Amino acid sequence: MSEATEVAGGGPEEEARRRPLAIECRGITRRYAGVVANDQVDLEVAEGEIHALVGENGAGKSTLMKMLYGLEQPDEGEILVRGEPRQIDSPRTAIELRIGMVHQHFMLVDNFTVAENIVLGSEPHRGVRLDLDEAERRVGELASGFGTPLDPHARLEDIGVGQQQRVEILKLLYRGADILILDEPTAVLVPQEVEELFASMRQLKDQGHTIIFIAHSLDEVLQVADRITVLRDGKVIGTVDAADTTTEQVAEMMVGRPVLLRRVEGKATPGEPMLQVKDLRVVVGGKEQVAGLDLDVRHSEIYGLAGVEGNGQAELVEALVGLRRPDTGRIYLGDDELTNADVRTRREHGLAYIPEDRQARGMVLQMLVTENSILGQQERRPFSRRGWLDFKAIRARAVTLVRDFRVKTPSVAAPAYALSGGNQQKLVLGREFASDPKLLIAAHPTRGLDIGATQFVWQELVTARDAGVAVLLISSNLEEILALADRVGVIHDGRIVAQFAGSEATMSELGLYMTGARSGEEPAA
Amino acid sequence: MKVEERPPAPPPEAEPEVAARIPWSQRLQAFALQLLAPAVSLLTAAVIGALVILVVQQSGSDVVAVASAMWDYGITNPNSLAFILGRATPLIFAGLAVAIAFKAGLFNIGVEGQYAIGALCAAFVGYQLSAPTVLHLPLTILAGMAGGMLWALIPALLKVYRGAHEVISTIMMNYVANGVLLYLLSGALKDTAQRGAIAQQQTPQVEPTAQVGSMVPFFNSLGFDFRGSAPLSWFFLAAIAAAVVYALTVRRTRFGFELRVFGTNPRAAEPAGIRSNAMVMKAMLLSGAVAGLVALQDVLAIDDRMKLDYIRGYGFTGIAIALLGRNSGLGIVAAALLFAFLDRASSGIGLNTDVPKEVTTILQAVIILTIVVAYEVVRRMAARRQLREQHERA
Repeated sequence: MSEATEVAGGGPEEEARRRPLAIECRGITRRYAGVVANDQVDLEVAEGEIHALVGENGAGKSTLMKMLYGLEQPDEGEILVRGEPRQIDSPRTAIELRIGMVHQHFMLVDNFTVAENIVLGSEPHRGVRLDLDEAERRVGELASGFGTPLDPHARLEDIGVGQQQRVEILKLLYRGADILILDEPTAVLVPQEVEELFASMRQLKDQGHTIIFIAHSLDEVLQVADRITVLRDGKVIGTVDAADTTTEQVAEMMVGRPVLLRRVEGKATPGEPMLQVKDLRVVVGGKEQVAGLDLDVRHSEIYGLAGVEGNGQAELVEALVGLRRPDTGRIYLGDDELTNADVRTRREHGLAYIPEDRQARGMVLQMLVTENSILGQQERRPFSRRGWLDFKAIRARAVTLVRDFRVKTPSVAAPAYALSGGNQQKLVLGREFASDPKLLIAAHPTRGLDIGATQFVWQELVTARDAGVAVLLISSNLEEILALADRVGVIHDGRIVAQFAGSEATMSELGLYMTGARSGEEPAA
Repeated sequence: MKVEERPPAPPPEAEPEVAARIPWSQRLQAFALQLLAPAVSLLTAAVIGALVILVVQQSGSDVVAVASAMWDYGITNPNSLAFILGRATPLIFAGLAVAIAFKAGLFNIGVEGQYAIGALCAAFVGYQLSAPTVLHLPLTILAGMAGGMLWALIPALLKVYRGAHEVISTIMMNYVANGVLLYLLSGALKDTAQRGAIAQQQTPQVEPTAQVGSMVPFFNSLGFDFRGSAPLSWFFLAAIAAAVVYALTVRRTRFGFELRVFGTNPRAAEPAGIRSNAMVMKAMLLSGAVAGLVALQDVLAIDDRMKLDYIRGYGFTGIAIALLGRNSGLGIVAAALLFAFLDRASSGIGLNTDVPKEVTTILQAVIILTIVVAYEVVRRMAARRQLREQHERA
C-alpha cells in the first residue's frame, strides 16, 4: 500500500485538511540490513492536532519517529516540516526546526533540580557563569502555564514519574519546540497520572502545539487523539478520525483481522495454598523495599499483584525466586519452607519464573534456540543424564516450543539473537510454561508484546491456571490484572495495601491504592 | 523489523516447518567463515612483518631471506616437526587453562604463576618420593595440578568472598609465585649435591620413576627421522587428549552448558539455577589444575628438574593462543602449533640471516592484534548474513 487510505470523516478531519501541515512524510522507506522497517510511509500531521500513531510491535512506529527527530535517515522519500522539505540529519537540526521528542526512558539527571534539568544544554548565563536564578525564573514561568505547578527547586529523584515526564516536556518547550513527539508516554504512568498527562496534552494543543504520540492502549488513544494513523508491517494502513471510530476498528486495522482483548474466562477453583509468604522484609541499600509483606497464592488461581513500579515488586520477586536473600520472614512452596533455598531447589519444587527483563535474565542471546529452550531445566531428564546433555531430546523440546508458541525462527539451531524481540519473549514464556510448573511467577509477561501475542500469553496463563498451577502475576498494566486475576492485591511501599476478588476490582479503585491516595484498610480477600 | 505474531484461535494454519538442524552446506560455510578471520590476520601479519624487515634492514632481499629461512628451518628441516610438537605441548595446556576461565567469563592471567607453583610441587614429589612408576608418576602429575589449583584457589576465593577482580589478583599471584620460587630454590629445595664453581638454583633431579619418556622413538618407528634429543615427550599426547576432553566437556556436558551460560550472560544464569559462586570456583580451580600441567614436560621430561629460569612466558602466550583459537579445543591446538612454528622459525632466522630473530616476536604480536579486528569483522558479517536470511524467510 503506497498511499494512506484516508477514511472520510466529519469535522476534525476536514478541519485538519484546511489547516496547514506541521509534518508531512512522503513515501518514506527505511531498511535495516534487508529488513524494511518503513515501507513507502505517507503521514500528514496538521498543525495544532494530537496525532496518535499505533501499531503492533515492529510495525515501524519508532523508526518513523526516530526519522522525524533526526536519529535515523530515510533511505527514500522526503519529510516536509511546515510545508518545506527538510533534511533532518540530527536531533540538533530537529530542535532547530522546533521538533522535540520525549523518549520512553527519560533523559534526565537524577541529582539535578527540575530547573537545572530543563535548562541543561541551553543554560542562561551571565558571562561564563551559570545564571541559575534566571533559569528558575524562566522555568517557573513556563510551568505555570502548563498543568499543575512544579517546584523548580525540587530534585528530580524526589519527584514522581508523572512529574518527571512533565519536566521532559517542559524541556522541549524551553527550547522552543512546538511539534512534540511522545514515545509511549503512558507506559510508565498510573491511571490518575495518565489523566493529568492528557489534560496537559489538551492544554498544549489549545496553545497551538502539535503533538504526535505513540501508544499501545487504544482506549487511551481514543480519549485524547484527534486523528489516529495505524501502521502494520512498516506500511500505513490508514488514518482515521478518533471521533468516529472504535477500539475494535482500530485493533482490526492494526492486526489485520478482528481481535479484542477481553477477560479470559476459565474455571478458577482455587485449592490449597502453593506459595505462602509471611512477614517478608527485604532491605536493599538501607531502604526497606519489602516491608513485612504477607501473601498466599493457591493452586488453580491467578493472583494479580498490581502496583506502580518501584514499590517493592522487583525485590519481592527476587526473594521469591531465590535471587535475593530476605532479611526476615518466611517463604513456603507447598509444605516446604524454602526461605533461603537456592534457585535450583525452588525450581525442583515446581517453580517457574518469567523474568521481567527476558532478554537479559531469561536467555542467553549468543546461544542457540535449542540451548535457550532448556535453560533452567538443564538438570532434568531427558535433557541431561549423568551430566551429559542429550541433544536429541533438547532439539525435540525446542521444536515443540517453536511450534506451539509460534516462535518465528530460521531454525532451532540458530542463535537466539537472530530472533526478533517478540519472538525471543515467546521462547522464554513457552519454556517456562512447558516446565510443568506448580507455581508460575510471571513478571510483566506481556510487556512489549503486541495485541495478538498478548492475547496468546493471557490464554496460556489461564490454561496453566485451569491445569492447577498457582500463578503470581506481577503487572503494572491494570487492564491485564483485571482481565486475568482471580484475586488482586495492590502493593504500595513494599506492603500489600488492599486485596480484592478479581471480579470486584475496578481500575479507578486500584489506581487510588497504587498511588497511595488511599490506604490503611486491612487487606481483605 | 517485521514480526508476525498470531494468537492461537484463528484458522489452524499449516504447521510451520521447523528446521531442526542447520544443513551441512551452511555449516561448512560457517566453518569457512570462521577460518577466514585467522587466515586474514595471518596474511596481514605477514605483510606487516615484511614491511618491518624492509624498514629495519632497508633491503628487499632480506625479506626473501627471512621467508626462506622460516620455510627451511621451520618446515623442511627433518627435526622441525619434533621441535614444533614439543614446543606446542605446554602452549596447548596454557591455552586450555586460559580458555576454561574464559568460558566462564573470567580472565585468568595467573597461568604463569600457577604453572610455576605446579611445576615446583611436581618436582618436589618427583625427587622426594620413591615409589614404583605406576604410583610415582601419577602422584607427581597430580601434585603439579594441585599446585596450580592452589595458586588459582586464592584469587577464586578473593573474588567470591570479597569481590576482588580476578585480573588484578591473578597478576599479583604471579609475583608472589616468583618470590616463593626464588626463596625455595635458593633455600629449602635447592639441590645441594651440585658440584662446580657456580651452584645453580634448581631442585635435585626427579627420580626416574617420575620421569616421562621421549616420544621421538615412537615417531621414528612411524618412519620419521627425528634427532633423539628433540624436546618431544609423551606429554604431547596428553595435551591433545586434554584438548579433546575440554572440547567434549564444553559442548556436550551439563557442566559445560552451565559454564557457557554463566560466561556469556551471568544475569541469566542465576534464574536458571546456576550458582555464580560455584561457577567461579569450579572454573578457576579447573583452569589452575590445567595450568599446573603446563611446565611438567620441562620438569619431568626435558630438564628432569625444576630450574629457576622457569619464566618461559607460556602463561601469557596461552592467552594469545586461547584468543586465536577462539576458546575451542581444535582452535587452541592449531594456534599452539602456529606459535610453536613461529618459535622454531625464529631460530632459523637467527641462524641463517642477518635479520634479528625478534622479527617473529613482532609477527606474533601483529597476529594477535589483527586477529582481534578480524574476528570482530567476521562476527559482524555473520550477524548481517543471519539477519538477511531471517528476513528472506519471513
